[in-house]
Amino acid sequence: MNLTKLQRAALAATLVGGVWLTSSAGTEPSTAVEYSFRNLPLNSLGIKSLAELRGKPVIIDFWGKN
Amino acid sequence: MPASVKLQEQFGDDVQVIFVECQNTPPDVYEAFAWKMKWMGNGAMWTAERPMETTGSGLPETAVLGVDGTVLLQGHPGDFGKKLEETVVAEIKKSKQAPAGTPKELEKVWSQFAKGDVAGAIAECDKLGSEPAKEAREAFVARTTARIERARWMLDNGYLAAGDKLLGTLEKAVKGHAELSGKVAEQKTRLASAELADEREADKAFAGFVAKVAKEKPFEPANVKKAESIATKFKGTKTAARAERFVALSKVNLNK
Repeated sequence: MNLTKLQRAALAATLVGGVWLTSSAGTEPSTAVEYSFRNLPLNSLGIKSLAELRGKPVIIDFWGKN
Repeated sequence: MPASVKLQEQFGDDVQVIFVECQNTPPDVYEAFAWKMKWMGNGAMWTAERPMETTGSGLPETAVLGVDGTVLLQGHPGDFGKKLEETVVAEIKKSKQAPAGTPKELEKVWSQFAKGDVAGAIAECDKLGSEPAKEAREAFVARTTARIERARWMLDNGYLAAGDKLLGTLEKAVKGHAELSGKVAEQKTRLASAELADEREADKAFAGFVAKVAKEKPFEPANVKKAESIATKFKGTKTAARAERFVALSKVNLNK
């Protein structure tokens, strides 16, 4: 089977599974993620942006109630 | 229980977890759901705003940002294995050290700052007097001022126990630095004022209540009744509004 470089890369990514060691789409690796919340998150205790959390690790957990 | 909840509880203030609801569930429904699942009562934040893009591979998805704000891990949390906790532990360790690329002469100063001796770190920068030392000094003052402002926000919004804890930490950190000590003392005076007496008592009662019920069955009738009594006793305070919200959440239909 002849695969192009792109196809081989896609296949490798599929086989490796869902862990990404770099950033998400649209975010360059090694670039700090910037975001200011339009509405203060619940329990934010005054934190308005990711920049204010710089200096400690942040875990962002995307979830759905359903 | 999501691994993130455990990590927030395990590492406390050394890490920040942000839960992002991605299915357009109304806030009262997902908040009530989180209480019911016993995911509340720790320092995790909750929002429906996505602070960064997801990979689009489905939920749940977890991203870890390092101390410099860059993405270190992103994907399905089940695929991380031990890597999630190991990454967090490594970043917490980094958070106590000088940032990467710090000039050698400032490594000790940054470490001093990271360990909480803000006044000492600033004094050391003044002694060194170099340009990098001046920049580090500015960073220390800016970061500490931001924390004092955060304490002010807590006092303004009825989170007095949290404000008290933060101001206690800051008081020790800035001892010996006249300007920053003055700013901390100003907030400490506000905290102890008669004006905030009711709020202080209310927040103490509600914070104790939350700590107690978060890991039990939060919406048991007896717990809801207790929240109602806090709301009634301290009516007019910001804390009473939070207690009223808790009561309202206990009545939310989770099948919305």
